[in-house]
Amino acid sequence: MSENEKQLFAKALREAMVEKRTTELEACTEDGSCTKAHLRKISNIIGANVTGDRIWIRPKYVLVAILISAALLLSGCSVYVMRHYSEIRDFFEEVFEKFARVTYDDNGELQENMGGISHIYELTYIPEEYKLIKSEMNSLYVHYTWQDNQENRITFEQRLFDGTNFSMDVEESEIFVVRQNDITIYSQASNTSYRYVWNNGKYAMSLISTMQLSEETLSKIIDGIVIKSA
Amino acid sequence: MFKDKRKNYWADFLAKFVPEWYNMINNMRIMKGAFMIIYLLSVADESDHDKILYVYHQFHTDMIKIAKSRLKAGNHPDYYHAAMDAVQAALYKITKYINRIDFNVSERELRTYVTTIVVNESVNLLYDNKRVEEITEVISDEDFLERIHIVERYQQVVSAIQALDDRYSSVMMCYYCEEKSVKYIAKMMGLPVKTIYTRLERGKQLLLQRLEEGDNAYV
Repeated sequence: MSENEKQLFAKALREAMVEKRTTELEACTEDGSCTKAHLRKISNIIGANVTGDRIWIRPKYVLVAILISAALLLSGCSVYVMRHYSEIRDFFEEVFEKFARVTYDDNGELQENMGGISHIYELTYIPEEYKLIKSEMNSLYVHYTWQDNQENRITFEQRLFDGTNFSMDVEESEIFVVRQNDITIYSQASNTSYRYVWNNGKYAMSLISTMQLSEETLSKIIDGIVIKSA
Repeated sequence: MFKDKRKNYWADFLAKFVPEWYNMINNMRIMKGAFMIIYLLSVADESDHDKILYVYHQFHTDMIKIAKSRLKAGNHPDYYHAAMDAVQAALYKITKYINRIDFNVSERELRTYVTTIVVNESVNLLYDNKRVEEITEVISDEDFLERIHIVERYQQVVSAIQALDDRYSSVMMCYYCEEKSVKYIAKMMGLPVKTIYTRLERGKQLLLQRLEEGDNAYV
């Protein structure tokens, strides 16, 4: 009996409320107008465009799109680095705002350099007017300096591959890439010196001159770099 | 021998990166699986979304009208914008609990349910709901049904409910008609659980009082 009465009461309640609301709505004199801001908020609440604007995307889809894009970008970057790691490892150039750095690193692959420089290089060609004024050799680097009568200097250095880096101030100068045979030479000209940096696959080398060397002279000097006979 | 300026490493990077990325997408099964899952998730709640859209398109205008009417009658200083706030709050709750709303009823009943939620939000804006009324007497459902004599005076009960304040009738409707828990009703209305219990008891008391007054009028 109680359950039947409960259902009957629920029915009466429902009927009363439906009648009440229907009567209230029919008697209501207000209109259903609302502001654009309200419609935008409703759009975001219900996840559908009710503003009438052409471009509207459900917030959930925007979030999903952002997450997927971020995941793809991260995974794509990592794949690219993995694929080209050997190129990046052997030769890496960082360009900062005001200077450039050329770094050579063999990552321990050149076994013959494990105990230091094993083959010392020398220059067989230097312009006539230059005389050798300084030479220095040890297991880590080789250094020669020549000077002419006007105190112009040419310096040659040979270094190990591992972690050698050359910093070049590019605030007031530019770096040019020069190619001779199969060698890529980075050259930089500043007010006080001209610098040339390259590697021959075994050692990092640099040539610094206080005056600009002609292409012909530079070519002859580099072609004349050979392993020093014992 | 030739000279050229420093290489554009970014151009080289992009030229190599885009084809790599495209090939990776084609080959990675994991990414395909992830896309499928995302698609299924988006499709899974499509029926709920349809329900929400139905509620909006069918009842939004009525919700605005009734909210404006109630707030204007309650002398709210900015009833126009407050009505929209009430409708937004009501739609938010409907969206949140859409899967608990019974759509297997007539449109009139569904309209009543939706507008009742709006009325509640309007009432919340008008009155101080933090003040909890103290109840002196607790009437059990069995006693209430026994005293109400619903079978003998059905129409009187309907009339008495219609005259009842919305604060009580809406709570009773959710509790007895929709058979929702007190905790759910509290969440939907944004009120403390104790307030819901209080309003249920107060509603029963007022209903009985009104019915007894009606009986006495015929004596």
